[in-house]
Amino acid sequence: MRKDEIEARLRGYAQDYEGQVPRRPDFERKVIARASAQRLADVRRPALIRDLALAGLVVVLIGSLGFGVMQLRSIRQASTLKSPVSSASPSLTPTMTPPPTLGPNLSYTPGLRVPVGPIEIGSAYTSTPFKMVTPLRGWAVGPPGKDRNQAHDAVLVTADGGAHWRNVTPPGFSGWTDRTMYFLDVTHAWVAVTPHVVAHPAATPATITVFRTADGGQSWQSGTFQIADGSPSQLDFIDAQRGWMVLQVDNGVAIYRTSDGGIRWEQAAVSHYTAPNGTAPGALPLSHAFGPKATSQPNCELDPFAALAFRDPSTGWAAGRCRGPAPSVYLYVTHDAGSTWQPQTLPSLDDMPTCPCTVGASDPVFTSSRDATFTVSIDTENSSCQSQNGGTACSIQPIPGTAKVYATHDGGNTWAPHVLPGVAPYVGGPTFIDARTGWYGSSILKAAPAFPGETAFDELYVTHDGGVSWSPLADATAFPGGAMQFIGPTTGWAHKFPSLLITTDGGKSWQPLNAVVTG
Amino acid sequence: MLPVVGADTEQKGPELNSGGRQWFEPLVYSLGRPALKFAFMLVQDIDVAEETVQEAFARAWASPGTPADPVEFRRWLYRIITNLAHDHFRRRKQMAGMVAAEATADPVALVEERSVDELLTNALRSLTLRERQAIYLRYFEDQSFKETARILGRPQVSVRVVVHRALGKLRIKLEAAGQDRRMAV
Repeated sequence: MRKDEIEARLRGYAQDYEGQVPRRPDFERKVIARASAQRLADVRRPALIRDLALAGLVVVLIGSLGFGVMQLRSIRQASTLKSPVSSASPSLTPTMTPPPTLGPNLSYTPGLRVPVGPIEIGSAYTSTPFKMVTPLRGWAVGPPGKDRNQAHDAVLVTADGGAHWRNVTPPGFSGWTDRTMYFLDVTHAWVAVTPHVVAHPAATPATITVFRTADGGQSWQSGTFQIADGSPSQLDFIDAQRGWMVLQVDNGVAIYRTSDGGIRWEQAAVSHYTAPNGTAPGALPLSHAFGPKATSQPNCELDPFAALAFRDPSTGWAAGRCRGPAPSVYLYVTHDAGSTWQPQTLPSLDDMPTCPCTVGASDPVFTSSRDATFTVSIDTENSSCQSQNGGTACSIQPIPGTAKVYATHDGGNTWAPHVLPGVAPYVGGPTFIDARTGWYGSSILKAAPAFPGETAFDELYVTHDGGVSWSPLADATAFPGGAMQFIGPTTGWAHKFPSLLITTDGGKSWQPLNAVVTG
Repeated sequence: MLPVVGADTEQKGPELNSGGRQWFEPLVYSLGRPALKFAFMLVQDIDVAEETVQEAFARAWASPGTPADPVEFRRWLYRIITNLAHDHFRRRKQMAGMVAAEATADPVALVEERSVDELLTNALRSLTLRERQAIYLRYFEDQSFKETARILGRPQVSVRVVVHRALGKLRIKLEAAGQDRRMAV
C-alpha cells in the first residue's frame, strides 16, 4: 500500500469523521457554565517576588544541569563499553573477517526486552526492515510499534537464514525515541537515536546518540553529539569508518558525516525549506506548498528515510520527490563528501503524463563501484478543493502511474531509464545482484478500488539485461509481493508484513520463515 | 469583540465572569465542536472527550496567559487538550485493570465504526498520542505542516517526520489487517 493511498484513505475517512463524533446536547452551554464557575487566576504577581522566584529557579536548574552532565560523563566513560571493540580497525573489507558467533549470553543486557517466541519483522522507522548479508547471516528490526507498552524495533541478528533471531538491541536504547539504523555487513551495524518528549516541546539542544557494533552485536560502543534540535532519519555507511547521517532539523534537513566509525560526527551540509527557486547554490533545494496553491506550485523534498547513498568517500547521491505542474526527478550528486550538491543530469522523460503530478526517486543502490540502479515513480493527481471552516480545504488523490528504473554502468556519470512493468509501487522497487540480474514485483491498479488509485501486487518479474527487459516468472508460487532482497542468483528474501519468506531457486518458490526470537 | 469565523452570535449562554472576557463565549461556540472532534481523536471516548474539552476551556478561561486572538487561542486550547489527554492516559495506565473493557464496551460505537472504515479506525487507535495529533491536524483539519507544528509546539520538520512515521505505521496495520481479513475469508 502506497503512502499516497493511505493519505487518500485518511482524507476520505476525515470526511466521515464528523458523523462519528456524537453531538452532545447543550455542549457549548455546559462549557461556558463550567468556565464561569472557575475563579479567575490572579493576573499579576508582585514583580519582585516573580523575579526572585525566576532567579532561584535558574540557579537550581544550572546546578542540576552541571551535576547531570558530570554524572553522564562518568557513566559513559565507565559503562558504555561493555566489551570494548578492538582499536577501531580501518578495515575496508570487514566481511573478510570471520564473523563472531554469539555466545549463549551477551556481555550486556539488551536495551529492549523481546519475548521469546514468534516475532513480526518490520518497523515504521526504517525503510529496510531486514538485511541479509550471507545465506545464513543477517539483521532485522522488529516487532513494529503498535502500543506504547510493547517493546518494538529491537535489533535482531540471525545465523540460520532468518528462521531464528537473537535480540542484540544496544544497551541504552529504550525504544520510544526517534531512531534509525544501518546494517553494513555481518559484523558492523549502527543505531542512531534521540530522545523525544511526547507531551511537551522537545528539550533543546537535542543529544544524538550513535551506537555501533563491530562484532555482530556482541558488544556496542556509543558516541554522542548535540544539535540545536532534530532527530536522525537515515544512516548510510560505505565501510566500517565512513558514514553519513540525515537529520530532520528545524525547518530543514542536515547531513552529518563521520570518519571514525560513528563516534564523532561533523556537519557536512544543512538545507532549509525555502520559496521555490530560493535555494542557495550548492544546497539541496527544499520547498513546500499547501492549500489551493498546492497543485500549481513546485514542492520538492528529500525522502526522510532513504535520501542518501554514497558510492565512495566523496561521491554520493540524494534522492527525493517533487510535486507540482511540471516536476522533474529529484536527484542530486555530491563530489565533496556531502558538503555541496548539484543536480544530477538525467535523460528527459519523454512520456511524462499530464501534470500536476508527483515524481519520486529512490536512493541509488550500488552492486559494484560502477553499477547501480534507482527507481522513479510518476503519479498523476486528482485534486478537489472545498470551503471548510472559513478556509479552503484541498484533497489531493494520487493515481499511481508509470515506474522506471534508472541504471548506470559507469559509476553514476550517466543513467539510462528503463520502463518497469505495471504501475508505480509503494514498496519493493527492483532489486539487483549485479549489473544484469534483478527481480521486481509489479503492481496494478485494482479494477474495483476501495478508493481512487488503490493498487495490488500483480506478478514477479526477472531481468537478465540490467532492467532493459523484464520477463514474468510464470511458475513463481507463493510470492505475496513486498520488498525483496537477493544475495545471489538463487537465494533471496521477501518481506510482506508480517511475513518473511525465503527462496532458494531464484524466486520460483517461496517458503515462509515463521521467524521466532530465541533470546 | 474580536471577529470569530462561524460564531453563533444568536445563541446566548450563561453570563461569564466580568474582566474583559467578552470574546470568550463566541470562541466556545466556534471552537467547541472542532475541539471536541480533536479530543475524541485523542482519547477515543466521547464522554472523556467532552470532559476534556470542558476542562480545557475552563483552564483557558481562568488562565491570565490565555491569548485573546482567535488563532492563538485555538493553538493554546489544543495544547491544553493535548496535555489533558496525556493526563487521562496516565491515569488510565494506573488503573490498567479497568481499561481492557473500555475500548470495546460500547456496541453502538462498534456498529458505527463498521459503517465507516473499521480497519482505519483500529489502525488510528494504534498510533501514539503525538502521531494521532499530527495525523488529525494534517488530514482531518487539513492544516499545513507549519500550523500543525505551531499547535504541537514542535519544529516543522519534526512534525513531518512524525506524520511520515505515522503513515508508515498505518500502512503496516492496514496491510496486516487486510491480510487477516483475506485469510478469514
